[in-house]
Amino acid sequence: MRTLILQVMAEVAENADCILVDDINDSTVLLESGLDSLGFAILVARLEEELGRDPFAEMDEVVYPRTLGEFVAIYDR
Amino acid sequence: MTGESNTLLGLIRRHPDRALLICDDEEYTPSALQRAARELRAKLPETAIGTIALQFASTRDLLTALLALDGHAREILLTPPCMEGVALQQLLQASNVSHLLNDHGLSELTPREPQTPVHENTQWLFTTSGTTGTPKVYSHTLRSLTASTRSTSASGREYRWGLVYQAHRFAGMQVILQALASGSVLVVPPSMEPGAMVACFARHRVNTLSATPSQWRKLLSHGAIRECALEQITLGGEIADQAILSALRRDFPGARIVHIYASTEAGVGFSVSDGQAGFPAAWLGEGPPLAMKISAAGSLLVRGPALSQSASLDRRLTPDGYLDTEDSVQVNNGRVYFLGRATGVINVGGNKVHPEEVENLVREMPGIENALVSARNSPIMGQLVALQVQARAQSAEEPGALKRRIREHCRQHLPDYKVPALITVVEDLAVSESGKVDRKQAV
Repeated sequence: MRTLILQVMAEVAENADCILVDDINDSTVLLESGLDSLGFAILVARLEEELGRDPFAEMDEVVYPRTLGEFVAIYDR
Repeated sequence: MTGESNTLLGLIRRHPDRALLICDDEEYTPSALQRAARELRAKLPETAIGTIALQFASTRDLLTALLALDGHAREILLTPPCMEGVALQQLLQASNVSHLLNDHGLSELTPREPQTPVHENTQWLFTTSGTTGTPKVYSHTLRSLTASTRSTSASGREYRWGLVYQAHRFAGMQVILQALASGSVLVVPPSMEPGAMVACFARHRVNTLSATPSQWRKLLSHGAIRECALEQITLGGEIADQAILSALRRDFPGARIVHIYASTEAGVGFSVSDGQAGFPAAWLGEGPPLAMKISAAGSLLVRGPALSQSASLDRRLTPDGYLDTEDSVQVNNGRVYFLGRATGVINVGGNKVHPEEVENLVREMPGIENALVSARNSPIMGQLVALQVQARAQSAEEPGALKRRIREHCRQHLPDYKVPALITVVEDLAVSESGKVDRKQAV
């Protein structure tokens, strides 16, 4: 899952002309990763295309992940 | 017969002996149509001429029934030929129809007393191409339908109209009546399939066509349309973008190319014939062609003589009597451009995007046949811009490369939030029965 997310992140960044920070890891803060909030919205939509589900839409109470680790954990549920 | 000169029968009698209608490759003169209409009228009981619904697949049969009933029946409902089952029943009930006339003959739905012929004031009931629920019905008379048609000019005889719209629709009936009123030939194609349509138009030397920009894109994708020596080209029903206007100009350099803006609710419209998208900003003001201005919210306001009355329109009226068309416009270099429907706006994190603006930009690109932009829900931004794109048939471009090219082009011309977040390459983008890009197929 992590690999896929990183792959799609890189693709979204490339399409949006954003540059991702080097060495992205679980403790990387998402908003400091190089993607802006529009980029994250696109990432979630693209992941929904890949996975056929949007875990954010499935949540009763939306949790906004702060770090990449938290983001991946939501998709791992 | 009293008042017949102001009925549909009277209209076609002006040019009795030349072929008027070509349908299924058969030619019909006004005299032949009149005969058929009189035979049909003689068969219809007087109980049937209150509110009667017509439902025919063949344009010739529909026209014959209209000839028989205009100036006779009180109301004629032009029923979509494909409608059936519950939807049909609901429409017939809602319109208070007593009789249905179709390919199987006349059927009585509700018993009625014999009715007196109305003379001249027959109401023609059209249905809107609404996307959900029972279609809305709105009425016209032959007089209001032909108010803007040019009648009986010598040049009318040189025109050979092809019917691209379906006959039961308002836009289709406008073409039919224009052809009949001016003594032109009307060519009805065997089907709505663009290939068959184009072959039929070429075979019968059609030189005048009216269609939506979406329909024109499909017609142009069939090379054979270039065999028609088109002299008069009309676009309506959707925004005519520069890409389609320029493509038509390139393929038909001698033709008069006109795009039409009409507000059916305000009962007004105007046509633009300089081959450029939008219209001159100098037209804003008291007219001509009509009184127009732009609202603070950026939509076009028009003042018309014949506003249709309804509660839903009241809230769109300004204190000084203008109707908000809910079409968003933008003035740029002395030209007013249509951006799209104010009601169809996509909201990306608080920023507004008109689907049509992005679609028009993508269609400008080489190798693109058509484009459809829709909203995609996003838990983060509210909505995102999603694009479906159809490449030209002869294009061998790999989908990934095409998507990259589109993104780059959009990024050069649009702010980030308008750039399609999701792009899907599709085989075919459907055009709805009314000839417009079918927004229901949005992802």
